Amino acid sequence: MTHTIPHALHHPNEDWLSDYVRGQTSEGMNLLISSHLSFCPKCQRLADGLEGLASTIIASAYPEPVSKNIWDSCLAKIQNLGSAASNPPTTEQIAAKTPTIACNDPAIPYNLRKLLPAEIDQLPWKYFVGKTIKEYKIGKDDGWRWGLVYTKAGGKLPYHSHRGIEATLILKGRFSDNTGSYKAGDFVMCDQTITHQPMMGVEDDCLCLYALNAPIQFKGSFLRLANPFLRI
Amino acid sequence: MVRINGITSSFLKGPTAHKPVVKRLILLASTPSEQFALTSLSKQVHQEMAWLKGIAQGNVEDFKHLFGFYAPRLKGYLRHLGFSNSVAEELIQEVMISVWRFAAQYNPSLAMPSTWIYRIARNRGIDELRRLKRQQAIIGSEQGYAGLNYDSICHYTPGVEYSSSNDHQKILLFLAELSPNQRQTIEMFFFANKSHSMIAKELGLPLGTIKSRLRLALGHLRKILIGEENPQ
Repeated sequence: MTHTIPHALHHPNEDWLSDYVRGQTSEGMNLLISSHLSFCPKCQRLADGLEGLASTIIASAYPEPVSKNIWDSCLAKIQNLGSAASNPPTTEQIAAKTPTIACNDPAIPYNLRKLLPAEIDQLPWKYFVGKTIKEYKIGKDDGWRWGLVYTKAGGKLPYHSHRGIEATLILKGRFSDNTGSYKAGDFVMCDQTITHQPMMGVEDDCLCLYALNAPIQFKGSFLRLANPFLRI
Repeated sequence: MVRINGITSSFLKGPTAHKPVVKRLILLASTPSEQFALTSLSKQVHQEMAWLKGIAQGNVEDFKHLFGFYAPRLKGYLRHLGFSNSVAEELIQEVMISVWRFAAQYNPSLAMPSTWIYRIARNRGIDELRRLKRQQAIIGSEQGYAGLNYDSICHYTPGVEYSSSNDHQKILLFLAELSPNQRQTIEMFFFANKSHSMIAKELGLPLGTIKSRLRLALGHLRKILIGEENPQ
């Protein structure tokens, strides 16, 4: 990974946004970035701009000849379908194509909500360190894994360092560490150069979406044994 | 090959790099050849918008025009992503049929036609690459593709307020102003989806040069679109 890590920026930088637009991010990072965009109109606008840039390049360069028969075959297919005007998708059809979503929390971005099997408080959480921190794993692929971490107001995560990249999107609440303080919608990235201990705000519980491409390393031998984050 | 020709200004290299956008717009509009190049690109965008409007009303002639323009370009793109000739042509058909089905959902105030079509093609291309990868992982598994859904086409963020037509102009200007070196790097990055290190290897340049070229160019795009040098 040759990307610059945007320390303490609260947003993904151009490296990550371009990879998102090019479809080159892992599934987990894709989820984090798309969720951040639904919080952040500026990054959304830049991502749209990068997409516009990519599409303009594609529309202005390097066409390759296509076989004659693909137009005929396309024409036959659309004639079977009927036109969008005479046959627009009905609300029911759109609803039928949209999977039933179990989580209806409006604070959770749509792309994330549709991956959750239940409301936030009903998820099969795994508790960690007393009852103040819990984790729900969403997926893993390509050396990354991603999920949710829920921490009680005023709680803190164990002091830890990173062997790879840790990206976090705050969905609810706030936390602060030695790099800065972060609120809902903020995108936080850490790498090997950062050792930190996120402390949650005292007013609200803090819900974060994270993606990791290497285990984080807790300081202290007891925690090292108890560490569910060690596995990727 | 339709390329942006006739514009040789090198704002990104010279002392004019920090001039306000408005000033550069005036400068650019000042010579007839530059104005011509930009006008013809804008005309193309408007033509495509008109085609999509027609397609939404079931006009096959408009669909044929759009197909004629985009099928070879999508093929160039998909072939560069690594798809075989026949798979690329299959995907083009799927993309064009989605365009036919969902044209009524296209909103010209949110994206250029090329951006909308690119998004469909990219999402479909990535899904296909992931499917092929999974198939390779589980030899003999026959996972069929479920088809593009409404979601993957209409994932705009509601409530984002900006005029995309204003952004089109800015993106076209941005592209037109790139130095040949930067243009080449940006094309390899967004069109051929190559990584920083692949580009460096192909051009025989240090990785740092490629990274700083892209960072400079994309940071400039951020400034043009959002008016900020860095994420804030």
